[in-house]
Amino acid sequence: MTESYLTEVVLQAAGRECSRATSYPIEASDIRKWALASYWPEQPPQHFIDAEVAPEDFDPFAWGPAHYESLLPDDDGSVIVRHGINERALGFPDWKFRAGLNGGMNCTYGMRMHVGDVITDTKSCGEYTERQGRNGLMLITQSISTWTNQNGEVVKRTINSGIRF
Amino acid sequence: MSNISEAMKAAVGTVTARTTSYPISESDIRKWALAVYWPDKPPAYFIDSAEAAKTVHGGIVAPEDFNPFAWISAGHESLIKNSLRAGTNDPDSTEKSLGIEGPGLTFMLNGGLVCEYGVRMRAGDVITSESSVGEYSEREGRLGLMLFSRSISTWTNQKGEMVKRTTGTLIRY
Amino acid sequence: MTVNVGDAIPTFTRATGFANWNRYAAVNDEFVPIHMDDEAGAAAGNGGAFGMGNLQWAYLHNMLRDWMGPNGEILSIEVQFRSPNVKGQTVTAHGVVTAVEGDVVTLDVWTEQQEGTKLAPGSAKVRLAK
Repeated sequence: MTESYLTEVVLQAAGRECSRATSYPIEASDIRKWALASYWPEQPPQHFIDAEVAPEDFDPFAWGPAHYESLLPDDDGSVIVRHGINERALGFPDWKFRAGLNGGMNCTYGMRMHVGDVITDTKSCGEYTERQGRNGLMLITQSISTWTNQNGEVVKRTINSGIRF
Repeated sequence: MSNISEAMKAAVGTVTARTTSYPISESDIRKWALAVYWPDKPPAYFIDSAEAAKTVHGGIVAPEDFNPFAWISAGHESLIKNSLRAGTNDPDSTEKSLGIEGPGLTFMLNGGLVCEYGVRMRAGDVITSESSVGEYSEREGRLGLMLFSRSISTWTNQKGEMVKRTTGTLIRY
Repeated sequence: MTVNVGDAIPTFTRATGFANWNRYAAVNDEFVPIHMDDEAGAAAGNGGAFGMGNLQWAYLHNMLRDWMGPNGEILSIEVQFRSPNVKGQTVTAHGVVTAVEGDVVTLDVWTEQQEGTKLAPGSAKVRLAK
């Protein structure tokens, strides 16, 4: 019976930057095809075909970033965690969970993305909490992804929540 | 006795349609290469401009099989006037679409496609594809007098250089 | 590079299935039910979904390109699609030299599945790098 997941290491990790990825420059074709796919089978709005601005949900990291680096000194590079937090490199306990669920996403948008933009995604560890539930003690995780453009302007900030037990 | 009429001979070279691409982007090239080499990595010269600069092309070029018309084209025009209505299963559909009488043969088969390459496609290129009527020829074969007709698709870049020419052959008898 | 008639060039192999086909569909906008859906593929008489002919075509180009390097030139190629690339097949592109004229080399090229059945046979003409 686990008494608490929230060890000192876990609590202290909140706010730590874990990895940084940089996109290739966004091109008109990327925006156009994204819009065609996400509006299919209807035609997307003309301003997306003309690539005046990218849709908010556009992902400039699709098919891989131009550059990726871990920001954790203890990361041996054996596991690349591009879509979350490398808990092992943060020194978190080697928990054994029966299940993991996606708890949801919360996204705040800033500057829009445009052709020529190079987006940097900095992933940091959010606050971990725990709660007693039907399945015993549940760990609620948070990872925060902050996208900025080449001018340092925030494009989007996403909090991803997970539930494990 | 020939199935090739004067009107058919005169039609050779007619451009029937023209399609223009959006400018090719490095992103299109990179993703194409990632897809066709998946799950291995594509050669670095499709992704990394420094690597590509070391090749004879002096920069990133698209794979030969790259399609700049995928998803959407910037423009398309059909250049055929006076076309007669004909189903695609009609052996004379080629001629009818040109507004001329076909040879009226009964059977047809696909004689295959040949693709020739010219200059490579690069980021920034705008490709124009022209469909045109190719040469007619005929030959005595097992099945009697066989008519060979060709349809040609020619891709050129914005400088008018030939990028690719695909010739399809239809056999009728 | 010395090339002689009868030489087999290095092959290009891929385990094929939705992982490859979906990526090709994404770049070529080739979202055709027979390539995405087992029922549609079965209805077309192939037991299930099957891969794009265009991807076989790409694999043949990849083989030629990987053999010649970036400075070689593919001059022309023709291929027939004889047999479908069904899910789970390991497809290998092959090439055998049939003629050499200076730096221009003609090859028989084809893709085959793991048991040796040819899927897409054809021929190609290339110019080797100086």
